Amino acid sequence: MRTIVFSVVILVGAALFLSGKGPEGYAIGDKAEDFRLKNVDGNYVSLADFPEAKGFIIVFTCNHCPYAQLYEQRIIDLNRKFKSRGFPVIAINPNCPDLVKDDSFEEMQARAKAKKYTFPYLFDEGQKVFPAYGASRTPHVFLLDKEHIVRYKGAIDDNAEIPEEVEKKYVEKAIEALLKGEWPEEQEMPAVGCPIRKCKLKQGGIVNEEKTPPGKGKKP
Amino acid sequence: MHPRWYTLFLVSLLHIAVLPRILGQNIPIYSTYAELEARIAFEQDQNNTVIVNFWATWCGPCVAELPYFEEIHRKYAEQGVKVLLVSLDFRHYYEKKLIPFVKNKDITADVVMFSDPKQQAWIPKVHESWDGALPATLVLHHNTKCFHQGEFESLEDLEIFLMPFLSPVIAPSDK
Repeated sequence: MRTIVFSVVILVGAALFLSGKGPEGYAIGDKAEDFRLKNVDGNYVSLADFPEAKGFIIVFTCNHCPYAQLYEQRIIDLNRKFKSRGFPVIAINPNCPDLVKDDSFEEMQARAKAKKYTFPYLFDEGQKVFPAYGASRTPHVFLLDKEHIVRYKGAIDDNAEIPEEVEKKYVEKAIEALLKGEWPEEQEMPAVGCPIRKCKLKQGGIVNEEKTPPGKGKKP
Repeated sequence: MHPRWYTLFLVSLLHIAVLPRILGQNIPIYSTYAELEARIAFEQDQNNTVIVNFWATWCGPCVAELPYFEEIHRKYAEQGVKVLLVSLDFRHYYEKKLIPFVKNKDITADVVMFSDPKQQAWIPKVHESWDGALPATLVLHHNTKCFHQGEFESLEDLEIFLMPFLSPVIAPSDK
């Protein structure tokens, strides 16, 4: 009996230790896999849909997170500035809508419309894409080149709360480097963000996301 | 009494009698990492084990695990275990959200507010493996440093994680 208890403790401890190492996902230099996710306009979007692109600004973001809200305008501006130069923004909401009602597909549609998003805002149905990337929080950027190689990941810039006091625009600097055929000087930058909410595993698989009531979710 | 003096009297009464009750525990604001580091170093001097939990009122999983940290504080404080709850709430949340939250949840473990905007400079100093997602927990026990990113699902999970630092029998060799 004691052996069993001891083994269980060791196993749980090991699991916690491993989970404590942070998400795995792509390292700088890894090739990211393409995906096919539903956009707020109802169409499905893949990276392959952009044959002209020189790369992609993939942003894991969402509706409810205060940090995502702080960066929303800056994400809109990134697309305005860099889409024409070959680097479109692809926003992906990775959260489980069962846990965060404001991040349901309907709420995403409402937000994209209200804020006039000019880029795809995709729903990570089944929550397979964000773990593949190793996204842990919102907002969390992955800058890919034309071959889908991860060239930069992490923070958008160095001041979330006060945009006027930003000194380093990490994503912009990284894109400028790529446009010159160089590797970005900074390739990975941490930032505080809201944890991505993973659906709880139930017997028989992931919580059915279709159960989210249609229409407006509850306001907090 | 002159009405003006009367008003002044009422205002001071409000400050003396009512405000401390509204404010509850005094929550210091550290606006640089050096200040937070100094506080952690101070707690390390005073205690065997320091558990630093980074959280925010807007972070659902953080709020869910706070009672476990409060429980650890209540159970182990007398054994030299210090729980320090470091709120990363925005500065404008201090009066409106953080103070009422700590009061309503009846948190007796020490809470501090930490708002150094230079996140890319201080996050790696907390722990090199932290990418900034909340919640995150750092355990300091003499020369041992142990870090966990993500939430604890239960008090048991947290206790298992902390076990090497809470149980004197299997604790790493002391000074």
